[in-house]
Amino acid sequence: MKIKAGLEIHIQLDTKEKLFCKCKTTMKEEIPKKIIKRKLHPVAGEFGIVDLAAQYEYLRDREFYYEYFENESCLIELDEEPPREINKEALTYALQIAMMLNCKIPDRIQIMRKTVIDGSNTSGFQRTALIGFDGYIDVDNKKIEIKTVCLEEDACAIDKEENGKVYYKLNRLGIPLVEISTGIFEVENFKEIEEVAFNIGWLVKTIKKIKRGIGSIRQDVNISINSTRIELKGIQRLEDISKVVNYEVRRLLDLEKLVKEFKNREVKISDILILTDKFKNSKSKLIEKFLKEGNEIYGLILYNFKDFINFKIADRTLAKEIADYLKAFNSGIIHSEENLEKYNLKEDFEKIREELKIGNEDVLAIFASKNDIPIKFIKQKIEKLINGILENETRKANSDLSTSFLRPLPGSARMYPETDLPLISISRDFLEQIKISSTPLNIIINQLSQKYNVDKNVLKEIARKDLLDFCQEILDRNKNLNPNFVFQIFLNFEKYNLDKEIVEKKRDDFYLMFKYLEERKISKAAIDDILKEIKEKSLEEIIKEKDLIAFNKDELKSILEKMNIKDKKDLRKLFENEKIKKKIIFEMIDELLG
Amino acid sequence: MKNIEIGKKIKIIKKDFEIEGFIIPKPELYEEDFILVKLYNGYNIGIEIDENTKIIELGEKIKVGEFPKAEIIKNSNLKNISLIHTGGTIASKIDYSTQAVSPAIQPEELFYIFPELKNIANVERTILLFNIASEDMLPKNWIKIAEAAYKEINDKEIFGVIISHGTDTMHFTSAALSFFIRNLNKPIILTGAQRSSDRASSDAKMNFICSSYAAISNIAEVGIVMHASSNDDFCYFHRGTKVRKFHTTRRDAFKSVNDKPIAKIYYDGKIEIINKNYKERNENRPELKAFFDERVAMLKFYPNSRPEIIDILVNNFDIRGIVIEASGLGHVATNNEKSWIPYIKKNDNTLFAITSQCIFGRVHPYVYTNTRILSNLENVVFCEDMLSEVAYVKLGWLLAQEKDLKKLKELMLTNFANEINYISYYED
Ligand SMILES: [Zn+2]
Repeated sequence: MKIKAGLEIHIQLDTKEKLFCKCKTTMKEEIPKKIIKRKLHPVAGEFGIVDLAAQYEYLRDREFYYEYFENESCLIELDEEPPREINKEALTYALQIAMMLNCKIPDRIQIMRKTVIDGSNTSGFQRTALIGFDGYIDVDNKKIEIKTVCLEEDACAIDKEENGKVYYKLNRLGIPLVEISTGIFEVENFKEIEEVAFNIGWLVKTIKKIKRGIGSIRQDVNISINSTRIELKGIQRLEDISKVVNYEVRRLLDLEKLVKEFKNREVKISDILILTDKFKNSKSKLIEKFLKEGNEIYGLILYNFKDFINFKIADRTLAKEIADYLKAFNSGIIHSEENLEKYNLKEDFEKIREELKIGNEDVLAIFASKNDIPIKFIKQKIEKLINGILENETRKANSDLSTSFLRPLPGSARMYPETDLPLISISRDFLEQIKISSTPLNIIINQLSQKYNVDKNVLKEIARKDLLDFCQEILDRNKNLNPNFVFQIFLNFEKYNLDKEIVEKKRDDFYLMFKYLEERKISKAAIDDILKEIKEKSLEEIIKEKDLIAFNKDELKSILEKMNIKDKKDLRKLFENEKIKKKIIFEMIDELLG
Repeated sequence: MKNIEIGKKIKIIKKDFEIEGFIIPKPELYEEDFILVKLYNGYNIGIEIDENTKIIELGEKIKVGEFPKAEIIKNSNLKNISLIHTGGTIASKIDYSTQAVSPAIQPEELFYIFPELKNIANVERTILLFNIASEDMLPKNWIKIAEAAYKEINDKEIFGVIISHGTDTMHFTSAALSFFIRNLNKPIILTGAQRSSDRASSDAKMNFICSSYAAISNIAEVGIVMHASSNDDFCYFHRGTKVRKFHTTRRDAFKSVNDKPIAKIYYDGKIEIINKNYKERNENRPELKAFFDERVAMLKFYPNSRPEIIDILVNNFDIRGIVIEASGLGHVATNNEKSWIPYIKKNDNTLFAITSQCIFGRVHPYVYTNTRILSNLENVVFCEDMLSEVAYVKLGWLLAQEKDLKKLKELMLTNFANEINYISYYED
């Protein structure tokens, strides 16, 4: 099935200082020097309305605790001092990236405040500036639109959340972040989304000043099916994009199925019931705990929901899906169609069913919480579903590649000017000065494929492993090596648990290995042994321990003579011995036996 | 560039691109030939206009919303308070089409910004006295504020008054009100914001909520109620004559000096008295003594400072009282070629009030020979532990009532609003 997708790629720039202050961007400190407590309040934006996502956050009424790290945070991150002028180094890199992506650059840049009220910004907004628009990138001969390139401040990373208290780390706040937003493109194979993300990321790396490590490049995916728009956040690895999208598409299609089924039955939802009194004498330990903590027990009757409450939505039941929304409010659901004996609630439920004359096809659901905000929220959600409406949402990718509700999708009414800073003038001369040339991946792959006579897919795979530059370097240093053979070695890297990081660490050993191959000091058959141990040992050690130095021509000649091998047909004798096999350069045999 | 009305939807066509959006006003001080466009995605960018640029009007206009209003629910169980707005950003709204900031103090706007208010107090009256930046406040404004506050506290239905004010000179105003309104019967609270109320992180919210609790409290004092620390957990109720702004931007910019704050006022309404030296709510009839002789000045002594400035102030501007922010215990240059002593001595019709630029601590007239030389002069008074700003306001207030230098000296050392503490307690 075809869906519409769009990407937002966030890339941390490796500048010395943060975007609007002079703090370091290292994120090395571990023990906070101080913790500051704050609350945020929704405010009306330019259009006189409070954003839906902001309203939702206000309902949750969370307290935010900010961990202050010395050298990596100051009064500016604490929202106790106005921002300093924008970091010129970061602006330069961002402009370079925008130009690489064929964007137009505005003559004046205005820094904006984008409302973000989940606490990840102490100010309640994220500073962001549009520095490029109307660009494109070629991916597999398809032109993908780059709508905007923005330079923004990264938000706080969350440390932990407990009982409505959220702990944020201030040291990530303010690190320069480039946000690249693509236009909407249609895809059938979700792998294509990964391809687009990879190609953009690859091009951007040309500027070298990109932070490395987990979280330094983050991609959000927007998908829309029919009229529902979902923003998927927090996909950690590029290769997970297609899997997360796949889950979400399944979830949406199942929801659509459910909504259709609703139409055939008279499903309804009751008003909110307060059932606390009815549970006063409950034998349930769980209820006892809820009441002790000062919760009320609320109830909803879901009429004609018996067949639906356990309806499968992707990998979850509808009840689990409801519970997922309630988690945001520290609440949950218990319903009449699950195993109530587990909670010792069977009697209570039966009594209430009888009292309230709840029919056999109806579901009784109860919720514990301190106020009626969660139940109001979930009631509204279910009502929307009953009416066939799937709401736009921001969802987060879980580690099992499923998705969870994060907040309603923010509206567009959430941007207003940063009045503390002046406009930035961008001269065309300056742009000419800083422009750096870069070649998109698909062009490079075409060129290399011709040069080395190697399959394009092999090259793409090598590029994915971020080893294309290294392979080229090896081939430049060792002109006699067969390119296909070299690429094949790197393609097999996963088998040995090797990656780019290890290549970086053991660069000299890898140079030497290929040099020895070129000089016929080791044989191709020795590579397997070397790669198996290269992580732990030096090349010389492995060669010595495993006795991998190849025979020279004279040695080989005498071995052949000794074993009386005069023809290639007799070679089997020679290869029977594993140890000897690894020391033989095949080309030499050709040369000796003709 | 042809004149296009601000707010109009336009298409700009340049050599290598086209772009659509709404034309919005440029920030002040930008003269060059470019236009600022709000794109559909919300971002603003500037595009230079030259002879080859084409601009097409697309008819529509940007829709900028009205500031939201909340329904006013009057709760007869709650106490009534009044709000007097004088300036600052504690309750402000931005007109995004003109970028102008104006106060949002109509009750229905206040209830929108501070929805918690409806459980605390009824805002019976809001008075937009003026909208003046802190630095533009003058003594005549203090008088106007005092008159307005006096009127409110004389209303039996009103439990307390909140005055919203820019933060920079709020402590001058609080001192003025402390002297101008005698025999106070209920709280008069000054408050403001270090981060304007149009941002989600604004300190305005807690400051205003805590001020509302303070206004209905038992503390019949003029006070400044602002953040106690960088945390959003409680405010301090600072005595109006013992407080000063100490930081340009932090939320907890105001600190009490040579005195403890009167109380901690928590976000949830809990009030913890930490300084028992305050007047309780009472049935007294307050008295208005709002006058000020503007012929006062304040000078700061520093090495190499020119004492001749005293002559200029007195001869050219008829200045009758000068607060000298002296060094340490109350010193000015005495034995060098730039000594202030002859100039102070010479202008014997002017009273010199000595305070310390150390801010914390007390001046002392006798410890050193040099302070003795200064304090022996007839027209000099050492102002104990009074803040310079408070001494300045007090001197102007007294000059308007008393001409006799000797009596003035006495009055400067008379405690009218706990502006002097005679005991210095050890505080961390
Ligand atoms: Zn900083």
